Formats: sequence, structure tokens, C-alpha cells
Amino acid sequence: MISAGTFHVITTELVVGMFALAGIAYLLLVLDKKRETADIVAHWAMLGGLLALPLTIIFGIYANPTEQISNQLLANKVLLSFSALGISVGVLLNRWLNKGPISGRLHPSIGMVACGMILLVASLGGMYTRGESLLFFLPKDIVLIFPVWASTILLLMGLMLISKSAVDHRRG
Amino acid sequence: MTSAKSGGEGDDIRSMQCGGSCHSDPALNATSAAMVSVEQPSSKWAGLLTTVTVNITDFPESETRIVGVFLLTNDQGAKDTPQHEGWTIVADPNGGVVNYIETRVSNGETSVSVTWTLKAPVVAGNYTLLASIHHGGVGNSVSIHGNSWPISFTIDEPPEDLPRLASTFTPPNTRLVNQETIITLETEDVTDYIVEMRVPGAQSVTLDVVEGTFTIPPAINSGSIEWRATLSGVGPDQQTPWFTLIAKEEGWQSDRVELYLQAFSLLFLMTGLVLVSNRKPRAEKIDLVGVMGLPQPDITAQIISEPQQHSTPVVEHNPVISTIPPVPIEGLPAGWTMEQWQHYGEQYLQGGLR
Repeated sequence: MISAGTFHVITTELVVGMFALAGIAYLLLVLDKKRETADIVAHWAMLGGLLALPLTIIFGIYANPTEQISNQLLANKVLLSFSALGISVGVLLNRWLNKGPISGRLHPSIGMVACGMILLVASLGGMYTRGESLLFFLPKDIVLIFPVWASTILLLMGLMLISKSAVDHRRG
Repeated sequence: MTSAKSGGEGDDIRSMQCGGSCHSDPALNATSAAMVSVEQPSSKWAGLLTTVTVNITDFPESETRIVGVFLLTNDQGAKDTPQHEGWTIVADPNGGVVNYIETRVSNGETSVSVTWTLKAPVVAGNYTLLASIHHGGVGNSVSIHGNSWPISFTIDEPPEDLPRLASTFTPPNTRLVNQETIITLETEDVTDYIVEMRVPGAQSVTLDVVEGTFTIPPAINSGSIEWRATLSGVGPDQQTPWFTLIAKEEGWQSDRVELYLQAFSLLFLMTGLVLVSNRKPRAEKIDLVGVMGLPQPDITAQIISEPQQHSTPVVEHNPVISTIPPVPIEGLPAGWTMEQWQHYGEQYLQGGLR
């Protein structure tokens, strides 16, 4: 039987490839070059990566099926990948709601941050499996786990922001 | 696999990975100079606990000195784990339950021994075990592999009255430093037993057994101790293998529920923040016709003719524009675009940019 770890690697390649492409396209948007093409490539590539990202996360979780997570790298991977997922969803929703290219540098910059976070997650994976990473200088063994009440507050804040944004969008 | 993974691959259940070394491509793989051997199991009764030790000697020069050791049943590279032949791994040398472990050969040493605790297959018969190792060399080395000769032996049905540990008993593998371990032996056909404990390689001491339970004192540092029981009953006395109990420092741990709750919180929070970041301000709408009595310049035409990336809000039926200063009667300054006017028009009107 093929293990969850193998599927995790396959889907990770998909995610990293898509997000790397999206990152380059967002960089072009930040630099105001080839705006029309870069806009299309950035958002479609990010959407492709987003479709594979939940699978990657699920296979990653099944690859280490213990009740306790005892490695800081794995915890950082989970937190970073979910954060990147959230940013990417926000970026794509903004683009979709805008019904056209978004001017300015803020939007593509946020897109680049999401791509950078995904690449960082992939780098952490390399550190976990092979003990090697190009980003060896980053402190990867520091992880902040919030108590349940703090996470619940953050969750409610997030839902409120999304609701507020939805209401504002309806009002036009 | 063409080069050794300097950080190792991690303990796991793995089939043998010769990496092609058996096909002799010296550019990609190499055969280890180390000698690998497997000792006969400490006891050979079907369904009962036993130990198997793998000895590695003449370990060659290696940068990391990490060696991966496989306990296998054949060298075919598939269906070769002990579990495939009915063995149950009760404890591996690192305190887990896998057939592939990584260990480190101490500096200045050229040999290392590792021991697995196994539950023998329940079906009596002839069985084979072998060990395989892989490790790196010096520098950016290729992957280096080596195999032991297989050992063959017979597993027999235990006599009915043989004093033994119950098939349901599983010895503990690991514990935390500064934590004592209380063990209650589950036995069959046993009337009495004594328990010994030792630090590996040292003299053993006898532990007190009270009502079938004994206590292994806490360890001050990380490391391992071994214990075994001598079981007495109607049949001949039996000694269990030396069981290894590894003491580990309490490491970092997080509960999955807490972690995933935080992860989903971050997901929604990040989505919300990004969505809000693009929210257009509900700015005052300025009717240019009515402001300062200025006549209406042809802004609408200019804006419509602009490429769509300038998302300045425009109401087509009523030329109203948000946050844009009124355009002078003579029109935009020479060479200015509406976007520039939107940002700098106020300053221009105040005379700052004339």
C-alpha cells in the first residue's frame, strides 16, 4: 500500500510548483510589468496550488498519525500552511469580488507573502525529513501554541472580519 | 537515491533499500566495509518474547557517524520486514516499534550493537532473519550499504507447562527521566519469579517483587536500563530476554486539538484581514459641478479612456468621484494623469507644486 507520506510528497510538489509560479507573477505585478498576463497567471496558479494544498495538509497529517505532535518543525508547518491557505483564499476572493485586475502594489504583495510562506513550509519539510534546508538560518524550533481561549477569540475575530467584508461588499 | 542523506531518514517500518549498490554502479552507490552480523534469538518459542541483536563492526570513516539498521527476513527489497513473516516488534533499539532505526557510532568507536525485542511468530517452523545497514561517508558521499549473512533457526511450540510471560504482556519501551516505572508481570504457568535490573554491561541487581508488581527506580539522565525475569513453575525455569527501558527527557509536545484550533483560527483571521485590506473606504462623494462653482471638466471621458487597472470609482450617470480634488478650470496640469491628480491635486491647489 502506498503510504500517506508518499502522497504528501506528490501533492507538495504540485503546491510548491503552482505557488512558485504564482509568486513570480505577483512579483511582476508588484514591479508593474506585464500586468495583464501576470494578473491571470498569478491568480490561476494560486488557485491551482490552493486546490492541492488541503490534500497536502491531510496527507501530511496522516503521515504522522499520533495524538501528540512532538516536533516543533511539524507544528510550524501546520500553522504556516493554514495561515498561507487563509491569505491565499483572501487574495483570490478579493480578485474575484473586484471583477478585474486590482491596482496598486498591496494586493500582489500580499500574494507574494502567501507564496513565500508556502515555500517556507516546503523548506521546513526538507529540514524535517533530511535535516537540511537552504533556510538553515531561520529559527525553526520556536513555536507559539496559544491556549484554546486565545485561539477561539482569534477564530471569532476572523469570522467577524469575513462577515464585515461580505456585508460591505453587498452594500457596494 | 544517489547520495547519503546526512540527516538520516528517520526510524520507520522500511523494506531494504540497497539503492542499486547490488548492481555495482560505483558512481551512485558503494558497498560498506563494515561487518554486519545477527545473533541467534535469545529464545525460540512460538508466540513468546525474544530478543535479536545486530552487531556492526569495522565501521568505516563517516562524517555524521549515523548508521541506519534494518532488521529483515530476506534481501529481496519487498515483503521483507519481520512483520511479513509473523513477527511482532515489541521494542526497537530506540524505544519505538519499527524495523529500521538510526543510531550513531560514537567517536573513536568502530562498532555498535542494537537489540530488538520481538514476539516470535505463533506458527512453529523455520525462519530467517538478516540485517542491512546504510550510511554515508566523508564529504558529499554516495549512499553506502551493507548486508549481514542471513541466520536460520527453528521456532518450536512451547511445552504446555512452560513458565512464560502471557501473550498479552507487553514490556514498556520508554519512560521520562525522573519517573519511576511500576510493572506488573502477566504470566502463565508461573508460581514465582525474580526480577533483575542492570545498566547495560554492568552487574545486575535483584528487585523486590510485591504482589506480582515491581518498581524500576527513576533515571536521573537520559539513557537505558535493562531488566529480565526468571520464571519458576511446574516446568523448567525460564529466563526472559533482557528488556530495554529507555529514559528520555521530556521534549516539546503539543496537543493536536489545540494546534488545529489555532491553525483554523489563523486561516479565518488571515482570510478576514486580507479581505478587509481591499475594502474601499466609504469616502465622501464630491459632485464636481457643485464644488466651488467650477465648471465640469471632461473627467469622465478621461477616466473611461484610462486602462481598467485604475479602479477609481466612477458613477457614470452623475459624474461623481471620490476623494479627487476639484480640477481647475484650465484642466489638469500639463503632463498629469488623473491618478496623479488624485494623489497630488490637493497639494497643487494649495500652491505646493506650482
